[in-house]
Amino acid sequence: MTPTGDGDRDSRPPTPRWVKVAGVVTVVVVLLVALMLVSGGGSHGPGRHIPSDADGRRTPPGATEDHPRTSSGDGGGHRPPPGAH
Amino acid sequence: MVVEPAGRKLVLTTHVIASVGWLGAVIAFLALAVVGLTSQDPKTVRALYIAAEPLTWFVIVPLALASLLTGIAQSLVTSWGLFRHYWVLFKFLIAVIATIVLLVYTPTVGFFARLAAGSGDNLSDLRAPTFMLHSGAALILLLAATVLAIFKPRGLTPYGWHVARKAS
Repeated sequence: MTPTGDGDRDSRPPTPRWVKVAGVVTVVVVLLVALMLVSGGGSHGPGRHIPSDADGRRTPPGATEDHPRTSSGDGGGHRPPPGAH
Repeated sequence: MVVEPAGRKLVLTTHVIASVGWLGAVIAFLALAVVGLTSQDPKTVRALYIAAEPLTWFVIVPLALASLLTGIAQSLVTSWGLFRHYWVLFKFLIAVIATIVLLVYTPTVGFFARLAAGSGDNLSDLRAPTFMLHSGAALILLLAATVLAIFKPRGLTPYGWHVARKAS
């Protein structure tokens, strides 16, 4: 039975198509970003851009043999500054 | 909230200025990122990465926060509300997500500025596309928010529909 009169007034209109499309696009983008973060080993910070030397150590400019700024002592990963993204 | 028309126009004007300013600042940041990634001149590249930090802290972050806060204020002083219409809700979520990512990303901008300050003529460390990726994504989000604000596509949220039904 199709609602008529006041019944039409009480029935909530369907979700607009543009909202559904935007929702799907949002979910896909979020999944892609999550996939990229996971595939990067969960490490996502500026330190990942620092090239490694022959021993696999990461030595940013200004670092010295005696006082390296960062190293791979954490298991081959990198150590971004606190709160780095 | 009852606000005089002059007050609503003031909030709207502030919101438009902050939002468009944010968009323009992100475009400026993207330009720095592209030139920094492609230029062969070490001095130019270092200067761009160093300039990106004050641009972020003194222009982009304040405009992002201003856009978010004035957007919330705008929704409260008009009949649009914050959760009644899908386009307002989407725009709000875009602003929140973009602002959070921006604030979380600022240490990276500072990191590259310090890297540039001490990098000499070696540009290999600065050739990461992170600036371009993040500012490009921000630009897409802000363009989407601008399109939503202008076209205001129809569609009431379930909450908005209940509010409208009670009011009628």
